[in-house]
Amino acid sequence: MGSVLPAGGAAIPIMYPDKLPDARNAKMPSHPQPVRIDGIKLSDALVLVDFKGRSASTEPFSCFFRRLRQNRINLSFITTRSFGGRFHIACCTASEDESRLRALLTPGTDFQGSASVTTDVGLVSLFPHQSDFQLPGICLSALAAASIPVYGFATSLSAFIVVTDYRRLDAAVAAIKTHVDLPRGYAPMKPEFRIKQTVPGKGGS
Amino acid sequence: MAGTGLGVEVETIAFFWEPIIRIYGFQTATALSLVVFDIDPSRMAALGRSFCAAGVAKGQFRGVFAQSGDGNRLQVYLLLDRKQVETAILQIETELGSTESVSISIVEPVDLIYFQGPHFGDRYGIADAVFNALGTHSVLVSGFSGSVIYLVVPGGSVQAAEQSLGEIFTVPGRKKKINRPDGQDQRYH
Repeated sequence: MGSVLPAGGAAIPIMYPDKLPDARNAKMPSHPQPVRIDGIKLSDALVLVDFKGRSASTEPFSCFFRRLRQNRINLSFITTRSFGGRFHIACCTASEDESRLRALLTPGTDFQGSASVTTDVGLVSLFPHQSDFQLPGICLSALAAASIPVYGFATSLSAFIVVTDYRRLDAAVAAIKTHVDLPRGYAPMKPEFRIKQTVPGKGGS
Repeated sequence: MAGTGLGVEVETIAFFWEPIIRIYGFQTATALSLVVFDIDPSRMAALGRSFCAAGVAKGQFRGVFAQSGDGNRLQVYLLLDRKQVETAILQIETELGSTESVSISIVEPVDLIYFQGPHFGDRYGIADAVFNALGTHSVLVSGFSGSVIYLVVPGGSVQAAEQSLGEIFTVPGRKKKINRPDGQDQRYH
């Protein structure tokens, strides 16, 4: 494996678009056994913002996240991509922050990209994934079978998190539960209280 | 607001302040591979099957991420040890390539930094702090969920990125000198 060293910088990763093994003789795997997990967690109602554009610099990222911080908008879930001259930030914030967020994304602001907002989304988190592809696989297969949309997903240290329709969170859980092995009598965790960061001296909420 | 069961909502207010953002569980991994491809959302079941098959074949991942892509497609990123790449690609090609061609790219080498901090998912400004600290360092892919942050950077850049993060975050094992308002130095670990 080679890499190109630019002057004064780290190695630039090499992209191999044609490196594909011959899969013609691969056999179909049998249906996996239910995967043992410890729990499922659901979020409150959120909005999903997709902010995309073309840039060779990190400035769009800096600008976007700086403006959200200045306006004290918390992001509970973020994925980013930035290479090949294109960037994409997908992030979720509480539904109550939607109007303030939209105000930041209106044309005429200094954001160098285009933004779209999807309302009424929620997060389904399953844990632990144990770095095993089977848990994401079972989850995505179950959601697809139930025609539940997937707007994005990510893994953390132990959880596999899917962004989907908030109003279909219970249906998502029902679809997934038939394919995982949960502790007896387990009920998915839903938020019972919210932690919110405020400015000292200005009280709660 | 927590319910007391007595028809009265209770709000708890706690004050938490730190001069520098504390983090823990700081980990890195080097010489990894980032497998990138996109799918039509109608192929989600096939994607699920490919992941299941990869798992059955003992395939493991460092991270899995996806965002909406161009033309309503879903862009998928798999962060893998190099020895896992062939297993993953084989199953992706088997399931997703059966009815349409799948364009798969591999970005390598890449490095991984991941860490977590108290209530990162509940505090505004954490992502701003991360990208502000990293400045012009390239972050190919990142994921912020709950209290955990994953940063995928070009291979060979993890040490420089860690040093930059150490300017704003307390990185375990690294000492940072803070100038106190009273003029005396204060050291954090």
